[in-house]
Amino acid sequence: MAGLTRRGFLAATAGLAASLGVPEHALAARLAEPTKPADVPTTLEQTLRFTAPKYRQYRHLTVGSGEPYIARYDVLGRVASNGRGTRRRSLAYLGHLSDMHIMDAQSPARLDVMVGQSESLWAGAFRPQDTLTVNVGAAMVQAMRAAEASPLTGAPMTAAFVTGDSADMISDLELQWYIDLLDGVPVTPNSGKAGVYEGVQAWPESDFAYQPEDPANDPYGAYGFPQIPGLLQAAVSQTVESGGLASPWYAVYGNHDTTFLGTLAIDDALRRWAVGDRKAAVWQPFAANFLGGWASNLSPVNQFLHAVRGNFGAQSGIKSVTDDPARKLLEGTDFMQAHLQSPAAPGPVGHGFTQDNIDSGKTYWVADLSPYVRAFGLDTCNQIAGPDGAVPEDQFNWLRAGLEQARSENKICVILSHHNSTTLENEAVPAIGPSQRLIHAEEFVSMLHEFPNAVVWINGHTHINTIIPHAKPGGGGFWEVTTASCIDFPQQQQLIEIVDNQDGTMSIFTTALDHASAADWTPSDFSQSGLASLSRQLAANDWIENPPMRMGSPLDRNCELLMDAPFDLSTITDADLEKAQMAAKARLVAAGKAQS
Amino acid sequence: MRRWAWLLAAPVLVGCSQIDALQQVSGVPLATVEIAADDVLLQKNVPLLSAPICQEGDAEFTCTATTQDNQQVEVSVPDDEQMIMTVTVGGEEIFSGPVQDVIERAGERMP
Repeated sequence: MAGLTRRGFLAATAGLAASLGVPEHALAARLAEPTKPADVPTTLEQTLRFTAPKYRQYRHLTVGSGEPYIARYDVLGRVASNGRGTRRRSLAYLGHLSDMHIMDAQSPARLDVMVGQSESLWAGAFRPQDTLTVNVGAAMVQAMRAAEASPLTGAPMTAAFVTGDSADMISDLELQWYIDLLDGVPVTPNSGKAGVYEGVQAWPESDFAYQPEDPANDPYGAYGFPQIPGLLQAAVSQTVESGGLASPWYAVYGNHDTTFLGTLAIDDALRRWAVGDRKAAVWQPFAANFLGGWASNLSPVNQFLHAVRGNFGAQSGIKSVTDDPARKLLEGTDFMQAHLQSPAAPGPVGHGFTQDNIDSGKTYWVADLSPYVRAFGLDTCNQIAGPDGAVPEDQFNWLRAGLEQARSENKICVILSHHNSTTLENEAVPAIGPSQRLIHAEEFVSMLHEFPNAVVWINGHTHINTIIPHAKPGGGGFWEVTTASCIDFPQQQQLIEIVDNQDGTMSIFTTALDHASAADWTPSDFSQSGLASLSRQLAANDWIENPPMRMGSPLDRNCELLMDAPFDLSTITDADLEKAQMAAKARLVAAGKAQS
Repeated sequence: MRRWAWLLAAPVLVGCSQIDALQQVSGVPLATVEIAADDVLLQKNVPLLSAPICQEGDAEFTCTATTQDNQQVEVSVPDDEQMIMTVTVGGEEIFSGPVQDVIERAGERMP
């Protein structure tokens, strides 16, 4: 297939230079550089592994050997022929972030005390690394930015996706912190009193929590978690710098962006509690009021807040904290509005959401990433109750119609959602008012099977690296790719590249990406990346979450996922690909962040 | 994600669709078994055409996979505290041991 002519190259360069406001000759020189696999720090080169001693004791992390790609044939149904590696053409190179769980750990609405009732049942209500999520987010953005050019083909990143649970507690402040990290705006991860940590990790009576100043009396200390004087002060007083992403990024809702604790609907009383000056420190008074009233009322949060208003101010176990209106909880279209207010660079404006979403209230979108790749951003979250998801029928029908149109236009389609096929089983519907049928995993997968051009479903939610083949009986099918999170170990995200093998097959390459920080934390290193490294080490020892399991197996990490091409990919000419890659590379150059 | 299994213990709430939905994130035990099965097969250098797909039954997890020379892989794990996994390829047992031991070993740096 013919590539761009010299005249075509110069014309395209001139157009890009003019639209991006960069000098034409400098841009031409960059765009003329040959495309080759980039030297990118990924898990292809090195991995992070546990050191001795045996598990069930505090362990450190160390560098292990890199993991090469493993070819998977589950969807193709046969072993692929050799030689495709020399023919590959990159159709799209994508970054995938999910479950960043950027957290205001001091918020009264963060009900850490729940873990005091049962550490196994309430895992996630409190984690020892809760104050360090912004550091991890910045380190992950740095790693993603360093991978702007593909380690496989050298193609520039087409776009990045964020598949939900960006903010942990449906908080306006957390939402803004996450957007700022991706846009390259500095964040000081503190609320309430300036430069002072007020929360359960500093209150001796909160003995369920990891107390880094002196863990002698908490379960984390008993496990071997270190004493780290000054950690909390460092965590809330330092401004975290972020270089931001250079590629366009798109976002979808997660359950933590939709409901309280990712599970419960929110009422006005909880909204007032979030911005108030009381925070629960111990489990018992919380349980007495919260759980005691809960059984007689279907709104546990409302019961809790009613009890708080009536009693908690006078009870031990409820502490005074500095109130902060910035901690307000999101409502209505706030989540989408915040994305629309994000700067135009790296963009796109709205990050998938448009003014039409605000006007209509629809929380899903479609966007063309290039002339031949289309992304569908779904909202699989349940606004009533429960952490798991489903696809409402109107959205399901919208997607089906969109895929039909995309098929007629020979578009390769990427499906984005927060929930994956193992967690698309939520059946909660409004008790009062209109509702519609909820589509669950089996029906959803069956629908996607109707469309060969729907090649990959990208999602998160479970915090486990997972790759699931959805082979269609009789041939065909698609791949589902789930990334781990930024909060639980291994704190990995991923790179995804769709390539044409030019032999009637295509491949989707997945590459696990560690955040840019040292494998093992150096004591007293309170630098920005040092705190990110510490967060990963603490997460690696958070036994409640079964940390090594969340890495997935090698078949869930660096893989080549093969499938039959959904249509004759030669209809996408080399010239088409060159133009699209020039546009993507020019965006990186314009952002001043392109990899050399 | 969050663990919410404790809510299921409240009998007065049974029958309410909102409360029925308050439960753990689905699929974690099944994923754990699948990961361990993958790890065993990779460690044993079994060339796979299709990787293990697992199901949760009343008393055990079972998985099936296919090798590149079309042999059947079968995995079974009783749904009990010990979770001893048995893996056979073409009817021959190639592994038997606790799921969590496999997971832990896979996460450690090889000497």
